[in-house]
Amino acid sequence: MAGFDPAVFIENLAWMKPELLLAGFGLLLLLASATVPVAIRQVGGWLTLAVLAVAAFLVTAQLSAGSGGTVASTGAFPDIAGNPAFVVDGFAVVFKLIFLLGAAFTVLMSMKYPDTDGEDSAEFLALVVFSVFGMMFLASGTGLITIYIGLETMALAGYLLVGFRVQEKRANEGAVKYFVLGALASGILLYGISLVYGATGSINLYGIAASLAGDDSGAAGFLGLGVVLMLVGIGFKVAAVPFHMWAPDAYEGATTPATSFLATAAKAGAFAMLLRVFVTAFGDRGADWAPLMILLAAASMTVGNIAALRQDNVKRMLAFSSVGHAGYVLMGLIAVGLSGGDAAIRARGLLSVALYLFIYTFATAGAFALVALLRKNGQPGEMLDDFNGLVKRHPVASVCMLLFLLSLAGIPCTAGFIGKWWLFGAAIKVNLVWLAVVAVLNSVVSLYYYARVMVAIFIRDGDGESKIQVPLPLSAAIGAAGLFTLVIGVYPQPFIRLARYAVLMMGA
Amino acid sequence: MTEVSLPLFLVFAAVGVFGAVMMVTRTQPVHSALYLVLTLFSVAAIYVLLHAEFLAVVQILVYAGGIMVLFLFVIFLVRPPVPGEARWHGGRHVLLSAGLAVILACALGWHFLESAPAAAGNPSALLEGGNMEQVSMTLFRYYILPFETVSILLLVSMIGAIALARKGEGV
Amino acid sequence: MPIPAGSHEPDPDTGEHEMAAYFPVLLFLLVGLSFPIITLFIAWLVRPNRPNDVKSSVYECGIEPETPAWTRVSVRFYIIAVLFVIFDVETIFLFPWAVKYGVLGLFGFIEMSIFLLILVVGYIYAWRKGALQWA
Repeated sequence: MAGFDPAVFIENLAWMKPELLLAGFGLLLLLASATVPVAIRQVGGWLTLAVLAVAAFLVTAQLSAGSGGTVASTGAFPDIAGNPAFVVDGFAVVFKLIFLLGAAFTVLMSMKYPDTDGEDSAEFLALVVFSVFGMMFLASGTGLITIYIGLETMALAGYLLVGFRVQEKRANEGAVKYFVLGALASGILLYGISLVYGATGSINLYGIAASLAGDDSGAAGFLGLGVVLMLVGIGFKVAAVPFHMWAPDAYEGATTPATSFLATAAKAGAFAMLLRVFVTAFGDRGADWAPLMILLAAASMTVGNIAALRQDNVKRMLAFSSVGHAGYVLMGLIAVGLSGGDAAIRARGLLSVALYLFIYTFATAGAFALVALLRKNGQPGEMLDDFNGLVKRHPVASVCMLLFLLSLAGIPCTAGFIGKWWLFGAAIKVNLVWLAVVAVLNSVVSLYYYARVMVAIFIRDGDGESKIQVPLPLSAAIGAAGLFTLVIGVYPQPFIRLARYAVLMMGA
Repeated sequence: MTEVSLPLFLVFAAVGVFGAVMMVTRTQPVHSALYLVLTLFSVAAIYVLLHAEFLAVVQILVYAGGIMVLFLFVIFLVRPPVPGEARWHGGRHVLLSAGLAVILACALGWHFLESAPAAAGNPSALLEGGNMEQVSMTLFRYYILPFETVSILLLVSMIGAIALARKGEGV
Repeated sequence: MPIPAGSHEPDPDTGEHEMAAYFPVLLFLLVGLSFPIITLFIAWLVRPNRPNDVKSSVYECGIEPETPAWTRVSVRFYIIAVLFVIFDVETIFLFPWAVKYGVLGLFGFIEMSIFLLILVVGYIYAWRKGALQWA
């Protein structure tokens, strides 16, 4: 049993600089909102963006802070048995960057957006900041209690973001569905954690791995049930089938910046937790949980894409499409699970997940930014018909939307193709060719409903409305997303190098 | 748990299950809330049987004392109970959930009887004192990180409740 | 289940039950349950029961009932109840800290102060946003 040393604790705090920055800034936002609310309206968004940028810088700095000059890979805040609860390694760094990216897009979209601008803009920004703060523990946490509290913080802020437009019925419905099902999933997750604790005697991922590596018998039943329940709980957060029911209503009801946050950052957070828990704690038993995940992946891809075919509301369509993308991403995790000690396959699996989530964030955030663009008369422009004739009203945005949709479908020369190449390749490497074929077929299906939007933009005629006034932050968001989507498609090397850091997961 | 306190556990467990079943089958929400209080008290009693006195007190203070009051306020806020209007929507939902519950119970029961949990040892039991002291020494030394994060979590719920409720009222 | 060191261990030689210390609680429970039940039961036995329409109608200070018995509750009660729960949870974290205050020392004091400070920020927010008014 390790003793406790306050000095070590204070030393370990240095590894939490990004988290401390975010928490402190969130508190400042609240205090400012309580005392000088008017100032917040003007500078709140830009200030938040600046803080997110500084946090990203701090996170990236951790990459080179390690002893070997490479990656930190250090364990902090050891518990009684000496296992660390908080770890800074390449995996954590890469995922935190994804979170900050998703949050930055959300903040950009929320500036000058009527539903989130005004006297509650500070609350909106504070909720986004605290949600990202919680997410950071999903990426870095290795003690199940730390991870769970981070998950709850992220989720609670998420529920509130979805229900932010209190006067709007769809927001209420979406928020209630998300909240009730989310709370149920949290309960199931906790029950699974308690069963795993009962089976292994440790609440820390490393302790669980050590206990599993030791014996092969004993409480196998508990363990299996616990793992299944944990998968159910996290599967809900990721919006995988059959736990995806909340996603369409929540995405539709939330304000578009909040929807983008859910689809990009929150999903990445849940995946970070899924990866961390299943690779670190249950990595040895990959052959046991991989079949379940194969089922989830195949179901998510298929149901998500087929359901999206019939949607006329672009936000709901993107919600179902994100369910499908969750299925694709699960293939990377399956590859890690079935790698069976082959480091190359494991690396490919982790890399492909991180890379795809980056690419997916750009494309999805961009698509939602386009939806935010189409607001008119106080109503969100989320129906397919609102996209009619967009090419005449705003050609640049139309081309960007084309890029985003092609990237989501995985057409060559866009970033999405690169991401899918890596993911599907990982599945093929573990002899799951049939799964890769299902994924390709689903990508073709998805092309159909993405094409409906493209047809509306480029071929159909609109109502003859005049040019749209685009706020600067929104155009910055669309431009940046479009640029990256194109660039990664033709020159993916730097991003692949970045995603490769995700392979460096401590102790696994 | 020794053999002697098994009857006690069974009594409290039975009361708890009775309260839970009554809670989900009542048509009046206030009745449901009161049966939930019964279930919470029986859970607190089970905590006492497990030598987790602090948790039992927390259960009663916070859950039965705070959260149930909140439930009742929300019930009053949302819909005054009108007798005769609420109907028992049984049917296939009952079948499905009862079936799932039976499957889960069987799975758990079988595993409990078959295998022995590994966590027979409780690391913090090596520390001195009763439950409160153990919780204290463990929480404030080894779980500081989640502890401080909980304060952020509470803060988030606070601002959420205030921001959303204020907007709803137009205050 | 190992009984924690330092707590009162029942001596098996004297036949003392594990939960013997809680016997007063059982007594309390039984008395608390029986007192109203017995009182109400005896009252039910003794009293006459002859209801008629006027007697069974709702009482409103002697006049005909004008408004329904259930009135709309304002949302301010809900806000206060939520704030109560949040600060109640904060309080239960204070209990174990207070019990071991001496052992946890300055370090424990600082970490608890940070915890409280974050919630004080919340309190300031609640106060300035008017959540504490008119209820």
